[in-house]
Amino acid sequence: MNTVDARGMACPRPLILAKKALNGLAAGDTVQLLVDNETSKENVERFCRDNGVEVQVDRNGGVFTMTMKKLKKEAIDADEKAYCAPEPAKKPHVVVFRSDTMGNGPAELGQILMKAFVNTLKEVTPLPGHLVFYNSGVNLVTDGSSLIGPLSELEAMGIKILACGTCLDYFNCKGKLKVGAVSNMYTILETITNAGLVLTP
Amino acid sequence: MNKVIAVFESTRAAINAEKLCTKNAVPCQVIPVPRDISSECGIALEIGEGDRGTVEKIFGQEKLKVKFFIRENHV
Repeated sequence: MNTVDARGMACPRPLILAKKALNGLAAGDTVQLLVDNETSKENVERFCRDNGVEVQVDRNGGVFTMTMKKLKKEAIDADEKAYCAPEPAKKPHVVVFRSDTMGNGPAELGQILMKAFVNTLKEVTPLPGHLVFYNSGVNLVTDGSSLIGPLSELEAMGIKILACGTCLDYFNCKGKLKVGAVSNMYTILETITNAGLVLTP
Repeated sequence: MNKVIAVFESTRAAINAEKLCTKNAVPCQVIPVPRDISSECGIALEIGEGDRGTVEKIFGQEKLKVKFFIRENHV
């Protein structure tokens, strides 16, 4: 197996060398690439993942040995420079609780579904960035809700909880908020606007 | 402490079971039936190991059929 030394090089040079080495291989063959920085390692990994190359990385001090196995016989023609920039971070999603039930229908069914939904939230990744409660949704975060425990757990995990102040006021439960913070239309709308995705149970 | 997962014959039975737990002040968490127990959508209750006897009695009085599964607490 050949080894290509790309230590001391900055992007896109390790990618150019990797592509050149890979295109000299038959399907099923492997080549090793040495890089000495995290960014190059990540960029090469992404380049491999997108172009039918299996890659295994071993770290020894500051040096990464990347063993790349070409799976397809076709030459790779992807642009190396496109893999130089880090992948844009995904914006976290926001879960909006529009009522205290999950879906519309019999209240007792919607309520039990909502409990199961909230109790499952922490198990599904990626985790949401915010939980927003408005209209009868605020019943879930106020005194008497059986979900204060699991919601506090989510809050402790770093998920921000916002409750609509107008709604708390309407239901006379401003002093009864048990988890999260009282919020307003500006913050709620900004939160939803900046969400990567909005989810509603 | 281990957790006990109570699974019922129907959604309506699970709803009744949750109400019975609340009425009798037995702490329970509503959860979806774990995938390894059933792939169908269903509602289950998670209760503390120490409450198993109590809920068996309560459910028995109401003729609610229930199956228990033990989960070792990995936390």
